[in-house]
Amino acid sequence: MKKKRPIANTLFQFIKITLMQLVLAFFFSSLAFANHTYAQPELNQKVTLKIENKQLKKVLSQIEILTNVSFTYVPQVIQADRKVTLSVTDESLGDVLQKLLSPLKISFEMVGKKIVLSRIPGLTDANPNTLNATQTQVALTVSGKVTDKVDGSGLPGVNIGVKGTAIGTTTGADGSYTLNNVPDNATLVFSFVGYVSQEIAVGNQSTINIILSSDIKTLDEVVVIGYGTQQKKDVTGGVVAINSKDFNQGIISSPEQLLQGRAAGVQMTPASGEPGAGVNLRIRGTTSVRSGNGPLYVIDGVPVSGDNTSDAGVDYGSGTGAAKNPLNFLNPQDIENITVLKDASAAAIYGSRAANGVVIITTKKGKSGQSSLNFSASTSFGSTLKRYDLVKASDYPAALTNSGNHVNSVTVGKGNTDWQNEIYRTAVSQNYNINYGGGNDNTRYFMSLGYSDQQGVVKNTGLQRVTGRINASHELLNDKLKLELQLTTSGVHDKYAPIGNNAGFEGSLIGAALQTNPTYPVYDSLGRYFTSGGYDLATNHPKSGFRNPVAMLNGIHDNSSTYRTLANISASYHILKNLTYKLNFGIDNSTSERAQKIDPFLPGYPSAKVNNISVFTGFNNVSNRTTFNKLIEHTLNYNVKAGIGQLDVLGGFSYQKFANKGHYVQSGNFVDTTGAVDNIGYVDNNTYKAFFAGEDKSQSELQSFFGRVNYNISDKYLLTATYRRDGSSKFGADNKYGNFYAFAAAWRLSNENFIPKDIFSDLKLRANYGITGNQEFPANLTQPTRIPQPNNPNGAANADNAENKKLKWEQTTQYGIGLDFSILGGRLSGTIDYFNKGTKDLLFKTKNPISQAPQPNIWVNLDALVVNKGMELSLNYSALKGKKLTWDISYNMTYLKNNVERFKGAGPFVKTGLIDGQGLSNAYSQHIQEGYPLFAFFVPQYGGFDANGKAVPFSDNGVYSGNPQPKLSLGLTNNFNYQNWSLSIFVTSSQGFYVYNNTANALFYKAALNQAHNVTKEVANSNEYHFNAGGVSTRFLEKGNFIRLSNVNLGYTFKIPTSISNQIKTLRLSLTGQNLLLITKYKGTDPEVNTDKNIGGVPSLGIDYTSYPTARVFTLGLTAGF
Amino acid sequence: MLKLRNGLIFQFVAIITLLTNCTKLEDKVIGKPYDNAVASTDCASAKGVVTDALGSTYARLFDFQNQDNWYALLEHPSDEMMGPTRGTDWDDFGTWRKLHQHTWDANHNQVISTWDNLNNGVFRAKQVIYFATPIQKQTIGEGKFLKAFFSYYIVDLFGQLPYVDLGNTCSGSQITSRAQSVDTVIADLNYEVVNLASGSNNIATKESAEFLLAKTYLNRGVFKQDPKVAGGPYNFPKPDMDSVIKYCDALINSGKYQLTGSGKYFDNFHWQNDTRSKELILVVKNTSGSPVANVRSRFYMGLHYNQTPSGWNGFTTLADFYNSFEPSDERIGGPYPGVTDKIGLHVGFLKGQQYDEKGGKLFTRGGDDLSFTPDVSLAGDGEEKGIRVVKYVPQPGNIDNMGTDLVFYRYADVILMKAEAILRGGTATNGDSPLTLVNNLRTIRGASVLAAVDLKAMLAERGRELYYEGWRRNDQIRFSSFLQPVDQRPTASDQHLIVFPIPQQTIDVNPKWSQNFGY
Repeated sequence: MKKKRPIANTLFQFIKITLMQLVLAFFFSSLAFANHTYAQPELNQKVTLKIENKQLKKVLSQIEILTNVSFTYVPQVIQADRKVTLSVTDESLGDVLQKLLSPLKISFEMVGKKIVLSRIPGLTDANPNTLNATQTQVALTVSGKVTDKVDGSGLPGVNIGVKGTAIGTTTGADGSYTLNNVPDNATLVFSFVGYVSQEIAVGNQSTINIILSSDIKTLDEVVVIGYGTQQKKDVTGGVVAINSKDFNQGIISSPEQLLQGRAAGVQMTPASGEPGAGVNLRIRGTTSVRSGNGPLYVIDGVPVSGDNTSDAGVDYGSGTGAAKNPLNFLNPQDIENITVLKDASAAAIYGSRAANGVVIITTKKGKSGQSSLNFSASTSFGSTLKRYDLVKASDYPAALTNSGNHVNSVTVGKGNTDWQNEIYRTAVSQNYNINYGGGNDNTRYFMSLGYSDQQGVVKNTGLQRVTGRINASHELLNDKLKLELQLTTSGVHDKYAPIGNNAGFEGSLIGAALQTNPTYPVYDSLGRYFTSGGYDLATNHPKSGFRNPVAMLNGIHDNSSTYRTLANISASYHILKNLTYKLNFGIDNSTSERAQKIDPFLPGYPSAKVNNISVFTGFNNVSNRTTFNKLIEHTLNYNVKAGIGQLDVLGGFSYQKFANKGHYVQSGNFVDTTGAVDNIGYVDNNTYKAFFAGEDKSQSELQSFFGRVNYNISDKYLLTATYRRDGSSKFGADNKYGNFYAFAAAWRLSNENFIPKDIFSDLKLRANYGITGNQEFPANLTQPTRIPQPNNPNGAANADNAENKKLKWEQTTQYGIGLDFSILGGRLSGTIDYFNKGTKDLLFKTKNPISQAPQPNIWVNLDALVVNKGMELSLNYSALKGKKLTWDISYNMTYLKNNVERFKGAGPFVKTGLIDGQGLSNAYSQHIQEGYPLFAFFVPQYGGFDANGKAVPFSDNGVYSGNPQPKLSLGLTNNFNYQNWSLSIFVTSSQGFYVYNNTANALFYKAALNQAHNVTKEVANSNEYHFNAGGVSTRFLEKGNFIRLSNVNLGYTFKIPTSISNQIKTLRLSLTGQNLLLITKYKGTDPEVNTDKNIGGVPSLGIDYTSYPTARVFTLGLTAGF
Repeated sequence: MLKLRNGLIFQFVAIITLLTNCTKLEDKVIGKPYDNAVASTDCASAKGVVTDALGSTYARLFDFQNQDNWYALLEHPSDEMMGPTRGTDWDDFGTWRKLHQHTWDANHNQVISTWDNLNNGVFRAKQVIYFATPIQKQTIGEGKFLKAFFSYYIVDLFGQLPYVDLGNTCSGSQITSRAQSVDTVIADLNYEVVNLASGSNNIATKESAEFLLAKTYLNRGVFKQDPKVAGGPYNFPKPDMDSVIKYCDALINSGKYQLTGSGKYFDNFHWQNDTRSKELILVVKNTSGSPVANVRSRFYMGLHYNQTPSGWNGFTTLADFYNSFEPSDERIGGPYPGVTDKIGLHVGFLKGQQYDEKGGKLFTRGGDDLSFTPDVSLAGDGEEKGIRVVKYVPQPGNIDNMGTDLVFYRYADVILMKAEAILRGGTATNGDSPLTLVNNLRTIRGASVLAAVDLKAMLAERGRELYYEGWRRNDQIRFSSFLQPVDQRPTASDQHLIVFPIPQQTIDVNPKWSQNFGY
């Protein structure tokens, strides 16, 4: 009935959009005009600068930031410390350099992409010191050639200077040089940006040829740490930073997806392939059982609450839906950098919230001088990566008879329907972004606007997002005071299909599509939705049970909208030169509404009840959720030379308040039974109570004092001590404050004389120890409370939770050692880490020890210990560094072992991992048990079929059968650059884990044919006995090992013709493929899956139940910079 | 200008700084009732419930209507019910299978939930007693009855009984043995026999107390047995049997009760059983249309999907149990006016081809004839296997929320208890003998008269009269047949299975507990 959207149409739309972008681009660029033209397009870039009495070298680096050129010079030669003053507005770079450099008697010359600065010969502005020095020496002339280590070509623009003098020169286009007046005892320094510098003693040589190797990782990189930044070389803890250039490309709905697979020790498993689905992000393993397992997210300095911002929705008969990822509100294109603090020493500054690691997200900032306008637009086409190979309509009668069933009018219908085709589609998504940034010395700004419309591969699902951001900073009072603002606001609109986590035998949409008989038509002869039970003759209402997938798609309307604003404003004041005070004030506010409506008389939803509402005549639920989080922070930073080293001290106070509330109204019994229910109030209140309502709210406060001391002795010995005292309103009265601390030390061996520098450009040994906490548990657990039960006819409130004044945080003690290295002249660098984490005092809800007490439950800190041990390795290798072709490889690997070493006070084991489906009530698959990994699979051992296809009987009790946590996870990136082309290929793999295929357990075995359901061809062709029970067993526990071609990105950067280089700076086209290939023996659609199958709030891991399928997505994107 | 701006910024910083003051970090409870009283030392004062403590205690009885929990523990281990797996259906992680095959353990989900529900019932009943003033004898009496009601089931199913003194802190929890607990139950009941009046059968009355006293004395020999030899043989002292007879006579002589007439056995389970039956001593009162009126699960649990009502195709009876009936016995069931003509369904035992209201054959989901067979395999069988039981009569048109009262205590049981007590050595009264009492009942039910009654016949008769009413496990234990093999449980069970285990979680969180012998 529904018209298919032809691909051609979509393509046309894409072309239209792309053209529009181009037209816009030219429109904008035509506003600018040129006044002086240089031969090199780089020198025609427009520059606006206002410099007052600044060092020349700083001015040059500012120009580097403003433009895409880089300078190469010997500082002593051009006397780069001289102070200059300059004011230009919108002038070409060539003119600006002329103005800046000619008074200083410095000449400039474009060599390749570099501008080489040198003293104008003969006009030497004599430096008395150096001249004196040279006068006393015998002068030599040295010449030679500097070549690139990779391809042996000559390197132009290399600086050659005599150490300690102003004497110097640069290499010519072929890499050769001649240097006069070289003292005979001189040392020559060869330096070139991006290459490792070399020093050579001249002795009596007159020819010195040098091979320079590229410096892949510059160690001056700055990484973001809690409450500040640090130079990478000084970092003592386990920190991994992923910059935007290394982010995953394509359709990205949440920040976690940007780094999926990219960082060692960070494992991200999506709940499903649904757009914006929640994720399971684990840093160095899973530590907690009950309370939050996810890391703390800190966005631009504001720690955000881990609470869901949208409602999961109610179970109206298709299972409980999952809440979407609360971080979907961030525009991934606004993110500059994501830093993960992995170990206790790095994370301890966040105290009682740091045990599961900290993810620090930093958004893009404006850069002074350069105003840049960037557009990007992309269109994506997604389709299901894998579908189940089900029996076709034509083969179905044979499948029935082969399995001892009969072909009759009930079991074989007159249709021919591929039900998977009916619910899946080619998803077309679009993404547009525009950002504008710039500023001057004092004021910098960045603004962005993003729109994304992501369709899901299941019809009627998707995610639309509009985001806006303003980041600004301003310095005043002679740069003593700096004000900063980060503000983002977004609206996310989610569309859901009826795909629940725990649907019963009738199935969620996907379950229904998989099990529905292929010989059934979509519509019956009267044009109504086909149902196997037909329609009641008198009322024309569908009879019981059967769920027609197409009816489910069209008759269930489920949408949510979430509006969230995250803003923080900070002021830092330099009280003294080396003492800075900072105030940070942030708010995070979200509101969301979810509306779920089921049309009256929808086949398959005839007698389901929600809180005793019969939904026979439709069902309607509207739920709202509001969260509010306020942060006030004061920090003081002090750095001083102390004794033999440099001391950096941080101290601070932080107060944070979280509030969360939600309420819902449900109704049923709709009066208008002919059409869709679009007004919750249009109900008949006479027969049954038609309305139900409920509310929940909570608030909590966190008050903290923290400090950190870094002590750096000669860049060789680095010591860090961190302390945080956290008080939380959620803790019991006897345990209001917890102390968390960590120590770390690093030894930069590469700065020791005994380490050969020609082998190691960096070598650092790190060790750390620390204690962190986890307090991601609900408020009010320490007190006796009741649960309001407005819908229960027998009582207003049931006592729920007993008092526990001692309740406190979970505590994780972690230690580890690590090694950072860089060898082969920086071409190969890497990090190896070993860690050992022990988590005790697990927060757990157990039975009240008093069997006859008002409250059945009590929250306690269990006498338990969960240990995560592991190794992490990451390597970066520059395989090829040619002029035209470069090839970089980066690799990361995590080996993890998780074990519950002690588990006392909650029974011999705690069950979780609910298994759903027909005849599977009370079934579960996982234990939390001493001596086994968390969420270990405990299922009966399946022995296969006997000669008659009968299942060999197996015991009812489960035995340990596997671990859902991967032993080994790998990520491998290959980046190629060839002239204007770039290609990035990213492969991920996880090994040594199991997935429970609940989908197969519920749907795919012979007995399903007995009910006229469909099964996979494999099952239909097997010799299984058709009455075999479908109990939980190892039959459905499968190895999840996989290799995934996760992300491939091919890009082309256009060479901008000189004639328009004033108008458009960059133009790039890219084609991205996500999930191109999945190699696995797992029989479900994707082993990277985690359907929420918690039991009583104890989470599960690695269970796949009619999950939203993963999409294979192709994205064509265009970015343009102006 | 610059100064003004700096001044404003300074103000801003100052104001923000002032917003930060130290907090006491109080864990404020918002949006839900907070139990002030419980936070103090008084364990019993659970505000809110106390205002309707009695109502909320009675509300626990509604749980009994479901097919799981205590009902499942009372029936599945016996010889009259089992829950076979049918292809993909009803495996349910072996829950039902383990009950029938006596392979449950201390982590069995039905064991755990039953334990929780019963103890919660005892707690609520204790609150009623605790908060009543001494002159509220009716309230105290009802509270004590309900406490005894739930405690009786704990004693019967689990042996040990927790004891919490509500006047003190909840930590004063003690555990009493099965032998001690039974006397506590009797003491509570004795209070109310004296203090309670007669009344409507949906609340605790003198009569319901008398019934439970008779039941408790009848089983006292079992409860007093050494747990190490829980399987018997049991000693039923004559004074206990005389007490059974005494309380049965009190009910018989009250004149309030009467066996339903010939052909009216199913009136006891009809949607109008509140008016049609004079046998009902204690019921859960259901109101037609009420969402908590849920006796439907008693027939949904067995009926096939394609029957009306569309059932769950679950539990069946055992062939041997079905075969204990004579064809003339009306309790075996058959077509029922007002039901069979409307929805095609029979009442009682459903065997053979099933039909719709027009006499058309019903089919399985695979399109075969829906013909229930006596044979059924517990571990996996076709969906038409096994005889189903419809004891509560479905009301066409109002099947889901019928006004049928759920029967706990029934007068026919009084007659049979008295007969059994005499048979076990009690002194006969009113000229009754076990044979006259049993034959009188059998005659009304359309069964032939027996020549003699022994213990075996007594147990069989109780089965035929009280099937699916939650007594079979209890009866089989008392008659020492509980541990013997039955269909789908081919070997005799160990005697520790006479009681269920205390849930392992309960033991782990409270070291005062020790597990029942043998587990």
